[in-house]
Amino acid sequence: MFRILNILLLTIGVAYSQSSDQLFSEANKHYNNNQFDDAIAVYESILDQGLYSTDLYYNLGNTYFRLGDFANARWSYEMGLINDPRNKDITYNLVLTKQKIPNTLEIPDSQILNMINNFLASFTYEEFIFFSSLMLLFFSLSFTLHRIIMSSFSARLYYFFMLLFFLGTSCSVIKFLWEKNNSFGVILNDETQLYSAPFLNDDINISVFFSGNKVKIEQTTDKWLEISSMDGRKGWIRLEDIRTLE
Amino acid sequence: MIRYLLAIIIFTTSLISQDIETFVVNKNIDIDQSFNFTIKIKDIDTDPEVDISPILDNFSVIMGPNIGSEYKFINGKKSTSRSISWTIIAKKSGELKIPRLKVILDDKKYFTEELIMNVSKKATDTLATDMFLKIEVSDLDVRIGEQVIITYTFFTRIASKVLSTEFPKYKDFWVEKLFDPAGKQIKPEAWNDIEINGYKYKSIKIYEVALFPLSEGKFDLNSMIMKIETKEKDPGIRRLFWDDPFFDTFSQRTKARILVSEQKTINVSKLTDEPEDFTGAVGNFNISSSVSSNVIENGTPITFYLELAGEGNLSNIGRPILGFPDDFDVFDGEILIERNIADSVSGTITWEYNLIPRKQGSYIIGAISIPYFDTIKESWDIAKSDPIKLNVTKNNYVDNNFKDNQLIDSKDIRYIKLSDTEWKTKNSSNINSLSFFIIITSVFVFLAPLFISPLNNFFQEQSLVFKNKSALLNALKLMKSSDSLYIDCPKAIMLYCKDKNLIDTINLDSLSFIEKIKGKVKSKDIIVVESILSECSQYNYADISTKNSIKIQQKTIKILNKINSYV
Repeated sequence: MFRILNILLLTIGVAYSQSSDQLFSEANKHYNNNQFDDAIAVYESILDQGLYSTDLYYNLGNTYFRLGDFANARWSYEMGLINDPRNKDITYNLVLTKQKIPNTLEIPDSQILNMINNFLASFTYEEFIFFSSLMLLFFSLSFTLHRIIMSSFSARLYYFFMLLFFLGTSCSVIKFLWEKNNSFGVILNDETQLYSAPFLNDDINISVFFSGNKVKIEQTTDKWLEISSMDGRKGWIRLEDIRTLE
Repeated sequence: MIRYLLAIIIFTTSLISQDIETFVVNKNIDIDQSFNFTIKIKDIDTDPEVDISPILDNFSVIMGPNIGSEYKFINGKKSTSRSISWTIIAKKSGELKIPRLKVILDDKKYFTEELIMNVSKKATDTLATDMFLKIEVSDLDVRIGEQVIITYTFFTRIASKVLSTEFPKYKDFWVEKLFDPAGKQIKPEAWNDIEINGYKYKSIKIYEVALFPLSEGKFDLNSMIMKIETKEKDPGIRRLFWDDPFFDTFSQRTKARILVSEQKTINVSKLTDEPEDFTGAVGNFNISSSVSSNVIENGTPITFYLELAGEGNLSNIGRPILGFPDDFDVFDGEILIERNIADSVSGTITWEYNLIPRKQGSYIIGAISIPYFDTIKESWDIAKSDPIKLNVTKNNYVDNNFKDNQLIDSKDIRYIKLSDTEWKTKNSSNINSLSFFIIITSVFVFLAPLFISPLNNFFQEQSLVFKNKSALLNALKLMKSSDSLYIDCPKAIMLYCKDKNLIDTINLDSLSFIEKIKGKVKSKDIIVVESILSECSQYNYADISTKNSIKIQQKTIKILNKINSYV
């Protein structure tokens, strides 16, 4: 019974993968033929299936860039960087995209805070867990070795790996909590109106955001999002004005 | 058909006009003279509803409405009528219209007649009056945006009490209140003593506003109306003992008076030859600019302040559009307006601009010029600030993106990925299978020492059991493969005893060996073993025949088999 289930799951997985691979190469062909609208439709259809990959976000970003939709291009590259934070190609294209976005708000925080942020942002949650598990294995091995040979060297060794294991675990927890408590989005529409409350009323219109800017999402309702920007502005925008990075 | 319709309308109108009568006692009045306006409705028993708001543009209601009823019996027939009256006063002079008013009676609408009132300006004769309201206007001929200060002062020679005040409303002007007595307690020391034409008056400032004309034209300012209660001598009562008005309360009577300020007309002319960058400043101004910090790091926001100080229409000046260096991101900040507490006429307006420099270097924010119409010189002038130097230093903050910024020269993105990609699902776990396998393995490795020790003991036990069982066989094998039975027979015996756990080691001399096995092997068997060991010891170095050695071997095998049967 278990074997049959396994075979079934494997078959479905392979079929699914083949289908998305075909779509991916089809979208790439559209891109090569400068049919960027068609390429976007196919790339987005893969995302709609619940599948994603770093390359998909990268290619989607490139396609939006070619169409001059720098807001969506930025969204795609940012999503790609979430999956692969040290991807040089995505970083390169993202920097170029930011240059194309007018009124980009990038206000740096304190240096130490940024070092920590950059370190945490340089690795994915999965990578931190992998590192932690690897350190746990080394710690276990060195501990067992120490039980056998009982030398000071083996003691130092297992203390060292224990420290790295706790460091990796701490980073995993911090990364997990940070991702859970901080969600971001990219403004899609030009001159997105910022309101002081979740109502369409010109009297409470407090500011304007331009497309392509990355903002932090504070809270959400069914139609509105409360956001705060890098320059300290805070207010409500409509759900259709933003694409969330999650 | 149309003729009939017209006849019906005229007939109905005449009927209504017969039912409702509107009248005043005198249509020719002075501006400070109050009068009764009455609406009389015949043949009704219910109170009518009258909307009087249309007359409030030109008149002010001092008292009312007062409703009265009248009953008449003519030839045995009863007729009733109701009258509603208000005491009103004109706000300005000239030919003022009391428009048709809507009267609702039993859910039916009626309209009163229109009345024209001739209101004449009364020459202010301070000699003749014991109290008056004075209006002072700083300038009657002004330009659009020019500040006009209007002050209302109350003068009196007799004890009086202000019952109510109706402050004028100024259309077509931007109004800033400079002095408003509402909610303030007027202290006795606030009254000033002043002598006018030989008469001593007490005076107090009642109201002061700054007006800023918004359009050109002639504008009549509505009068201020004050209702005053006075105590005056009653000529009908003669005083008996003394003539001191302070103690004389019996011979005084309370009287209400209405004071109306003089009407003024302001001529507003438009500004000509406006400069292109004119933002509405009219008055007399100075400008200054400053920044929150002159030395800043690249990417750090600063605030640029532009302050315009002086007398004029501060609230009506638009934010100037300034030309900052191209490498700065500019965001409009707050606008702060502050009035000078000392004179309430001058003040400052400060515009804030939030700047974020994007490149390092030295920058100069040039001198800022704001054109304004100087109301003193009656000509255009320019307020100019000094230029400001800014030093933008390199940001110590290292961002990979900024580093990459400098690397990008080609200005084109890198090409798409064409190879197969590794797909993930949105719902996939954050812990991949490899990590999971490593964690499980680590747990096992960590716990391994706990299992090793018992396992070791088990194997040792098993080994001992095996040795025990194979003790005789090992001893026999040793003897079988022996070249010198005199040496190997004792060895075989000792090996057998060791495998059977009777002794710890085989490196024992005969006496020690015998001592060790005592109690574990039967006594008669020990004697046999002792004899074999002794015999082997004797013939070990002697050349004894093989026949004897075989005998010893057989003897050894026999005794070992015997011992093996019970050990």
